[in-house]
Amino acid sequence: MGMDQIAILFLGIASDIASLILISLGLAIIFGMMRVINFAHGEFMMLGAFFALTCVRMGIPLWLAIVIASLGTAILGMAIEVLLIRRLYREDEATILGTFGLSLVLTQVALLLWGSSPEGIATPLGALNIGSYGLSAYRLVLIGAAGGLLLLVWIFFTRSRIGLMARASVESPEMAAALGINSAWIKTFTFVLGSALAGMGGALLAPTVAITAKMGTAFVTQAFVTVVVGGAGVVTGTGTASVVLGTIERLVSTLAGPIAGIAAVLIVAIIVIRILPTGVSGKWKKIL
Amino acid sequence: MEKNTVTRMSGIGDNRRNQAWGLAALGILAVVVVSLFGNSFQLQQWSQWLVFCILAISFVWVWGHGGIFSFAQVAFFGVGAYSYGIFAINLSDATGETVSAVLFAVLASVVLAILLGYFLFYGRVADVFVAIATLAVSLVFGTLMTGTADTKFRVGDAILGGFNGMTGIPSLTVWIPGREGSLSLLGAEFFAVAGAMAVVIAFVVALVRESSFGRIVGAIRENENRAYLLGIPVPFYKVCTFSISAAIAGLAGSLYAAWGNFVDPTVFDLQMATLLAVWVFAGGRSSLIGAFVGVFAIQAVSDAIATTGTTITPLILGGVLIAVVLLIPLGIVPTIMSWGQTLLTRRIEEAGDDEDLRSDTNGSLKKNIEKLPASVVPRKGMTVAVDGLGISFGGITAVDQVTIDFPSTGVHCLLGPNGAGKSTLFKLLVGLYRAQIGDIRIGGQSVTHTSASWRARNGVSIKSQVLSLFPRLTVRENLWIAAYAKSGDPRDAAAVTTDLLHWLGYDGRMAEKRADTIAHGNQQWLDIAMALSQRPTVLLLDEPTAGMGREETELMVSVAQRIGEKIPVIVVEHDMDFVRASGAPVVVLHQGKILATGTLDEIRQNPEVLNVYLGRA
Repeated sequence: MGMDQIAILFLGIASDIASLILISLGLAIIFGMMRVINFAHGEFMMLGAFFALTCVRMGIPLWLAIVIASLGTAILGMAIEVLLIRRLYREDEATILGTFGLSLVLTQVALLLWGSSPEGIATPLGALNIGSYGLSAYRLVLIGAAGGLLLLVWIFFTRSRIGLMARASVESPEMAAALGINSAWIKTFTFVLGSALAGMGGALLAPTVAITAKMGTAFVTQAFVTVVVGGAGVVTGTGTASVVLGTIERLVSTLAGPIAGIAAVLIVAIIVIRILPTGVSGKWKKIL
Repeated sequence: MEKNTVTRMSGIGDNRRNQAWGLAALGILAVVVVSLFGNSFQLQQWSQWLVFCILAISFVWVWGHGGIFSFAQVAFFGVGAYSYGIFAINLSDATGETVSAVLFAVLASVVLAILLGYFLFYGRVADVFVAIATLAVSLVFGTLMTGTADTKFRVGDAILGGFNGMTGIPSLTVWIPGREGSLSLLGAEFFAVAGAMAVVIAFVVALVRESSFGRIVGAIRENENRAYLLGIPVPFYKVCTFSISAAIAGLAGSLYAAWGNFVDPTVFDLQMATLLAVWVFAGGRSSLIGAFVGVFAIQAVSDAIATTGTTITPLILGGVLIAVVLLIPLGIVPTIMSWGQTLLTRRIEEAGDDEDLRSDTNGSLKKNIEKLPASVVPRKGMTVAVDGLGISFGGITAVDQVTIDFPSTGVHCLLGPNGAGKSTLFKLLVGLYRAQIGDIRIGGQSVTHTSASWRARNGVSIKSQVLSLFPRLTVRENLWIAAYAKSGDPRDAAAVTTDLLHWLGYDGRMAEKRADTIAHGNQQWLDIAMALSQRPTVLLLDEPTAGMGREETELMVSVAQRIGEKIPVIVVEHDMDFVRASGAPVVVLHQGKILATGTLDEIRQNPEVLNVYLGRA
């Protein structure tokens, strides 16, 4: 194995880890902060991708399109929180079923709006040559974006006033309410943040995948596995789980093909929850 | 007496059992009539719906009754379908039937359920995680099967076929004795068989719910922690519940493959999982009739939409799911039934008075208090020895090298200010926490490393500080489950239940009330009676008189003393009236350590205790 081959393998692993972070961060925030499982998470990502696609077609540069896409899903997230999610907080099962119904509705709306044929955004930045191997330079952007977002989320929840209040409401809702923190507002905000990150993830990944109304399913599967393995810790859990699962998936699929890669991830995930039922971060008893 | 109690206990079940017999007979009749007179197109479609009904029943069982929100039903369904296909394609030519393929499919699903269930339930994975983990499993199965397009992915003659699916799956074929050759079930015949199977499975599930096993499963749904503390091996029961649901879903899958002669990866996908959720949620999550109503109503609606040529079926399905969640969270069938019930009970309540529903049962208790029923009087107590026991959380040492010996009889009180470590000590004693150092011996035998449910089965009963009942089960069922968890004998449990109900003065209509609807004081007594019904050899009571009045506290003292004649009764109590009246020796804990021991009077003279209680430094 030459140096170039090893470098490519490492970049491949890093880029898989980055994808997992982008795919699961929005879900992890909503789950970690609200204990709500957003089954429509994949559809938020799908809509982010379609918003970016529409913008790019209108001649807007991709970078700006990604920002607009996340704003779009943020607004949608707010509407959905106020109209639906807010009414279902009392019961776990109700939120599961409600967001589940929502995922079906959003898929179908996308199908009606954008049709069923796969669309694509040209991958910008061209290729990067390492020895005799080539790699899309955009992968480096994804790696940077994943790391940057993880860091931003960490800073937001540890340094900003709103972030601190959100953590306080998770730790002790009554105490936070007694201190005058409006937990309903915090929940709306958290859901919007999660939706925006889902949309941004979808938009960022859009140039690397085929954009279809049904693409959410693939995303949501990976996001679920990552969150189950990572547990409720938004940054620590998602980060660790992405590193573990991304590495395993890339290594096994390089050695034994993509199907073996998917199977390996599932097996590892199931073994992890046997040993650590609340995920990797459950042991640390941290929210972030 | 005992004979009477047994019939009483099965009395409630009998009603539901008779209903199940009646409905099953009606169902079979309907299936036969429809299969004789229905037109063939309709029968073909309804056959598929009946297969879906079987799948829905598996979800009603695992979610509605077992309380496990499992999207793995879709995986079991798909695995059943593919397994049937593989087995039937390879072997039906040789055997001339496909019933063996159906059995193989059921077996494959059950094996998957046992494996998956072991990881999920022995790991004690939280409920929400079960939902996402099981959905992830189903979706990954779909991805895997989609990836098998290459013809190298084959099992014998069966080509998995990737996205295009597996084709040429034989129909359901049976071999009838005395008949030439074998018989492929098609059209009306398949409809009749599928319908009969759906009805029979619903009937069997209805009976299993009323069985001892089914009651325990329901109790775990209601309050997993209490079930565990009563000595029920919760993970084992959950794996069983899960496996039964897998057998039913796997059967449905095999019939689905036999019906369409075809299976593709869409059986694993999100829309299938949604459909299942919509059917069962719309019908009513714990209603077996609801499973049928849900499937037929939803499928009829989506077919009607599909015939208009639009592709908005999923939109409507999603909309229906959201609407049901928001508007009728109970589901269609239970909502209608509760309307009926409201009408009915209103009439009854107008007619009769409700005397025995009032919370005042002290009168009866007082009369009976000396006569603790013979069936629950503990035989023989065991000594409890705690030696150098310690546990710390983070930087705080909650219990710090405590050494106490409790003899095998008598009431003993643990006192101490809040945070002294009393409840932590109890949790160590019952096994909810594992000791980090030290040893616990019960009856001379070290139990330090045993589980809470093992200790419960071996005689340690606790009434926890916070009320812990099975809220939506009746008073009678609560007691029965506690007794059955220990003895494993349904008749004995029924006898103990009746005796305790009589002793508490809760016989009559109170016994059939849901535990969450009775007065708080009664719930407290029920909680204690559940601990008693286990015929403990050691009884732990954590603040038994919290929220009780003076008179009830006195009753509690007599009960504790009465039981203390036979076994050690260790009580955490803040109520000095209780401690004084019981005359029990006292251990005072402070900051995890033993501060003082002695009689109440001695303790009151102890300057260190006074310092702690009066806040003097």
